Parts: sequence; C-alpha cells; structure tokens
Amino acid sequence: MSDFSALDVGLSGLEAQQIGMDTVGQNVANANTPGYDAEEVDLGAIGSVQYAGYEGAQSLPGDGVAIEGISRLTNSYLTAQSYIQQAAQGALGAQQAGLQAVQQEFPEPAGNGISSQLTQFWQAWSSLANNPSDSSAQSTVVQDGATVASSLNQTVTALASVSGQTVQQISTTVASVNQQVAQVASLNQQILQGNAGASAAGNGDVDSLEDQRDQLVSQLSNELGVSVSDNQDGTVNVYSGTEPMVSGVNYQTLSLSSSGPPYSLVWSNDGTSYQPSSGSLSGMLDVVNSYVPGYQQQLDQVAQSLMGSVNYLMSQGYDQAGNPGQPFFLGTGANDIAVNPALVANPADIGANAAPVAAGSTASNEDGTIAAEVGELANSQTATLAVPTGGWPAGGSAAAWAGATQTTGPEADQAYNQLVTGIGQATASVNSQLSDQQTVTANVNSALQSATGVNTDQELTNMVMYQNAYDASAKFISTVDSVLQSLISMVNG
Amino acid sequence: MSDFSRVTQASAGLQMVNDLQLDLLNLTNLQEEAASGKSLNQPSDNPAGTSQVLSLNSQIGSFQQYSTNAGDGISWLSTATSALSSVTTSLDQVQSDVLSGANASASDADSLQALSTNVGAIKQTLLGLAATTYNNRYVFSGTYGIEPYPQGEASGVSDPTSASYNPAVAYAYAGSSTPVTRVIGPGQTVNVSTTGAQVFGSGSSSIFALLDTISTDLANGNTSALSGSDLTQLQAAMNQVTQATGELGAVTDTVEQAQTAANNQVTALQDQVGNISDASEDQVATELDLAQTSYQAALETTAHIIQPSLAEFLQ
Repeated sequence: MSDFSALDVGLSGLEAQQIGMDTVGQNVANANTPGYDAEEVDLGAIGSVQYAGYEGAQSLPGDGVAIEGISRLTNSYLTAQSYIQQAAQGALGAQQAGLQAVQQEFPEPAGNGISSQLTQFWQAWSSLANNPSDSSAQSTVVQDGATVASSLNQTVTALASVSGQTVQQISTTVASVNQQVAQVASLNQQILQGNAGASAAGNGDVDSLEDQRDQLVSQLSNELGVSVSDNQDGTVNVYSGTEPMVSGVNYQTLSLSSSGPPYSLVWSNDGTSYQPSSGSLSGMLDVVNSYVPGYQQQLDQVAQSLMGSVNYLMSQGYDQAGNPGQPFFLGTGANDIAVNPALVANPADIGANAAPVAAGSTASNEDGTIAAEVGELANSQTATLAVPTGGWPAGGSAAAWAGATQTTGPEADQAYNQLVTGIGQATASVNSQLSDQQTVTANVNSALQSATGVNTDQELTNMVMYQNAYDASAKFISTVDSVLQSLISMVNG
Repeated sequence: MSDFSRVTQASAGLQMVNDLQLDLLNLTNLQEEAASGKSLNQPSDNPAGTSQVLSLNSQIGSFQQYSTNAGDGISWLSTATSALSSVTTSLDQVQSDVLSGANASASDADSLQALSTNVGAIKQTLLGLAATTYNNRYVFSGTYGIEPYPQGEASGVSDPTSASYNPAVAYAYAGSSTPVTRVIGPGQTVNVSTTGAQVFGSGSSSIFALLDTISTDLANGNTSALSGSDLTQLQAAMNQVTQATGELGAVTDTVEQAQTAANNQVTALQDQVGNISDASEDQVATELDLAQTSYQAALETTAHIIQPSLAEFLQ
C-alpha cells in the first residue's frame, strides 16, 4: 500500500457516505409516496490485494469501501397477502354497490313500496265488496291494480338498468385492466433493458420502475385476483387464476362476452371464457349473473302470484249484469303485468259477484262475494293460482286465461315479502363481510407498509451515521494530507 | 436492514385513518337513526325485522279494512233499523185506524172513508220505506240492485179500487233472498241485511196487500173483517217487523264489537311495528354521545401521536 492509496481509501469513504446520504434524501422525500419501497445502500469493504514479491506483506487493511448496489425493501409474503385481501375486498365492494342499488329500488318497509300498494289494492276489493255496483269503487279497484302493476313494471325495469349499468362498469374496468396489463409488460421490458445495462450505469432507475410495476399489480389485484412470480431476468409473470396475463414482456387482454346473463370474461390468447373468483370484476359479474337475475325471477313470481290468484277468483265470478268474470290482470310476468284493458274501459265488468242474477230478472247483481274473497287474499299464505293455457308466456292474451289450469302457490304479499327480506339479508351479509374485510385488508396493507415503507426516524439515524462517517473520512484525508506535507517538506529540506 | 419489527410513519398513519373511518361510519349511522327516529330504514338494517314489519303492515291494512267494512255495515244497519222503526210507527197507526173502524157504526161512512184513505196513504209510505237506500243500494233487496217492489207504486195493479188490481204482481218481491254480508274480521262474515220478503212479505201475502184489504174493508165498513182477520194479520205483520228490528239490533251489536276489536288490533299491531322499526331515543342518544366522544378522542390521539419525529431533535 502506497501512501497515496490512503487518499483513495478516504475518497471511497467520502463517496460511499455521500451515496448513503443521497439514499436517505430519496427515502425521506418519498416517505409518503404510495407504493414506494424504501431503498438501502449495500456497502462492501474492498479487500487488499496481495502483490507478488512484495516483501514484508503480512496483513493489509484493504482498499476502502465499494458501493455494491442499492436495493429495495421487499416482502413477498405480505405482498401476496395484500393482493389476495385487496381482491377479496374488491369483490365484496362491487357486490355491495350492486346490492345497494338493487335495495334502493325497494323502498321498504316504511316507504310507499309495492307492499303498501298491494295492501291498498286488497282494501279496494274489500270496499268494492261492500258496494259492488258503485262505479267509483269499481274504478278504484282498477286504478289500484294499475298502480301495483306499473310499480312491478318499473321495479323490474330498474333491476334491468342496475344490471345494464354494472355491465357497462365491467366493460370500463376490463378496459382499464387491459391498459394496466400492457403497462406491466412494458415496464418489464424497460426493467429488462435497464438490468442489461446495469453493470455500467447502476440500477437506480430500475428500482423506481419496479415500484411502479408493483403499484400497477396492486391495482390489478383490486379488480381481478392476481398472483405474481418473479423471473430470473428481473421481469415478473402475473397470473389471474391459472392463466398468465403477463409473462415477461408479453401479455394478453380480456374482453367481456357480448351476450348474457351469464356474462363472462374472455381471454384474448385462446378465446376461453373466464369467471374470476375475486376482485371487483368477480363481484360485478356476481351482480349481473346471479343477484339481479334471481331478483328479477322472484319479482316475476310476485307478479304471477298476483295475476294467478286474482284471475282465478275472477274466473269464479260474475259481473253485475250476470256475465262471467274476465281476467283482471293480463301479462306474462313483472315486466308486462297490466290490468285487462277491457276492464280499464268498463270497470263495471269486474266479476265481483259469486252468483249470476236469476234468469229473467232485470236486477243488477250485488252480492260482492268474490270481491270480498279477493280482498281476503292478503291474509292467506298460499292461494289458488290460475295458470294461462300454454303457460305464463301466453298470459298476455285474455283468451289464454279462459281455459286456465290451476295450481297452488305463495300469495303475492308473501312472495314479495320473501323477495325483500332476501335482498335485505344479502345486503346485510355483504355489508358485514365487507366491513370485516376492510379491517383485514387495512391490516395487511399497513403491515406491508411497515415492512417496506420509509421510517423517517430510521432514515434520520442513518443520516447522522453517514454524516459522522463522512466527517471522519474527510478528517482522514486531511490527516493523510498533512502527513504527506511533512514528508515532502522533509525531502525538500 | 436489521430484523427488528419495523413500523413506518405511513403505516401508523394508515391504521389511524382506518380507525377514524370506522368511528366516523358508526357516528354517521347513529346520526341517521337519531334523525329519522327509525332503526329500520332499509331492509338490510334488519332483514328479519323487515319481514315482520311487512307482514304486520299487511295485517294492519286488513284490520283497517275490517273496521271500514264494519263501519259501512253499521251505517247500513242503522239505515235499515230506522226505516223499520218508521214502519212500526206506521203500522201502529194502521192498528189504531183498524180498531177505530171496527168500533165505528155504519153511519160514520165519512170517517170510515177518511180512515181508509189514511191507510192507503200509509201503504204508499211503507212502499217508500221498503225502497230505502243506503249508498245507492236498496237495503231491503238483498244482493240484488233493484227496487224491492218495483210495481208497487204503479197505478192500476196496486190500486184496490181498480179493475186491474193484482196484488200478486204489484207486490211481487223483486230482490234476492240472499242477505248482504260484510267481512268484519278474519274469516268473520255477517249478514247485515234482512230481505224485503222477510219484513214485508211478497205478493198477495205482503203487508201492502193486507193494507189494501184493510183499506177496502174500512171503506166498506166491514167491521167483522176488521176486528177479525185484518187485526190478526196486522198484528202478525207487526210482530214480523219487530222481530226483524230485533235481529238487526243484535247484528249491530256484533258489528260494533267487531269494529272496536279491529281498531284495537290495528293499534296493537302498530305498536309492534313501532317496537321493531323505531329507534329507542334514549339508547340512540346515549350511543350517539359515546360515538362522538370516541371519535373526538381518536382525532386528538391521532393529532398528538403523529407529530413527534426525530427531526425535531436533530440540530
């Protein structure tokens, strides 16, 4: 070791501490940057070189310090956990949004929802029974029936629009997933290039690219459950289910199946369909494939119970002139249930009475027994339902009701009660699951932040250490300098 | 980096924000409860309670309707009862006319004629009473919407002095024999009417035909018939009316009781709905207070904990 090499050792110390300080600066500056992983300088001592033939070589102190690299703090276990929990939360969040939108269409139990309209409808029948030939009682029955029918129409339309909006949201989310996947692949490409040049230029830039990539994958995990595997060359593969979305610099996109329900996602590589099991996309698909169609079907059952039970009794009745009763409602389900237009035009033709007038009598029939029975439907659990000839799809024509068959089914109020309670239960259950899941996700993310984020106290401690070491190295250089000065002045003297 | 368990300022911040969010959510929910006075604002607040409230509301609707039906029945009954009481008054007058006629001497032809005219007028009154309506319905026609004795007020067939007099046609009962009913409770249906045939009879055996006979007998001074069969039949008719009035009175009692019961039931059911869906004010106020305190405490703690850092102590 020459006297001059001591200056190099001092210099390497100055440089190393300088890089250390820079890293502290970078970390502190990014203490609140989302997705930023704290960096640390990897320092290594440079060993001494043994020169052949150098006499008296015993053990030498080495040639200073080398900066071996700057690495990011990572925790692959917590990162994977974070992706899983975020995906679970995404799914529940999307389900909650859908269910709340559905629930808003059912202003129960306090509002003027279908249940109170049904009650009013039954009351109107009972009032008609009190005065079967009263034209205002007759039109009230027709009007209240039309109110219930149009509420059923509107509610089922509103459900369809919840579904439509969710489908649109799925398309938007799929588009943003595709964009994110493309960005991940492009970051992989840049990282690959950065690593290739790393030996010459250092890999400081690659760290920030990796942070960006992690951030993107984390966003992806909200939308679509993902798992990540690292490749040797610094790139990552991203999978959803078992399908690779990103492999190295290549990626594939997703699209939404054109028709449904059931809707599904389709992979661009091989055109296979995919039902994600977590992430907001899975939650939204649940809403459009399962929740909404189920509720639509139940609402159809409510409409069919209503039509079937009232029309059955109508088929037993006679109007005030003694003509057989006509079907009160026409329709195939909740979407098109309506009061029979013939009765809207002539409410007096409602078959409210149990017996026709005696032959030859000019009296109008006013026993009202059938109207009273319709009014009493509200108190039954089940009812006799008429089913139109040719099944429900034929229920739109009055003729199909003429030869209707009979079955027994839940009464309309009961069917509706079940529907609303079911929606309430599903929403309440998703609400409570989501609130639990939010705590879990927050805990995992906080743990991940703790493991990989910036602790400013730690950074400032490092800063003090680097500062002291820098001062010491500088002092060392100035000491060596003065030693050399002494030597030179001695030679000159 | 060392292996000790690490916490960062940002993660501490995340945790605190999460805790604050939970406190705030709780606070908001309680505020909604306090403001609306209801703990059940949407089905998901209490699915089982929603199911109960829906079915209770439906029952309330039914009982309100039973009460309405009973009220309508009571009005119907009181119309019929008051008509019958006028019938009784009129028949009392006929009876006194018959007794006067039976005791009159043949020379009192003018006064007998006057009595006969009076009875004829009473017959018209009774025909009018038989056609009493409530809410545009003939209360003595059963389930048929038709005047009970449509031919009775026509001249000719109902005029005992006319050649075409035909009581069988004039007083033929055109209504139905089925009484009108009201549903006044679950599975509880009552007859609220008595038919014209029961009260007034039909055709030649009707009260109107009897009054025609009496009127004729009075005009003719047929005292033996007056004090004999006329009086007997009149008293039988009066009994019939009294009996019908009594029956209607009994039904009125039943219907009034049913209405009271239905109203009580509505109140009881509304109480139940209130128990399920109303927020308990004391409880909500207390919980709201607690939630506010806890939220404020969390805010203060957060403000204090996040502040200190090593940076403050480095020169």
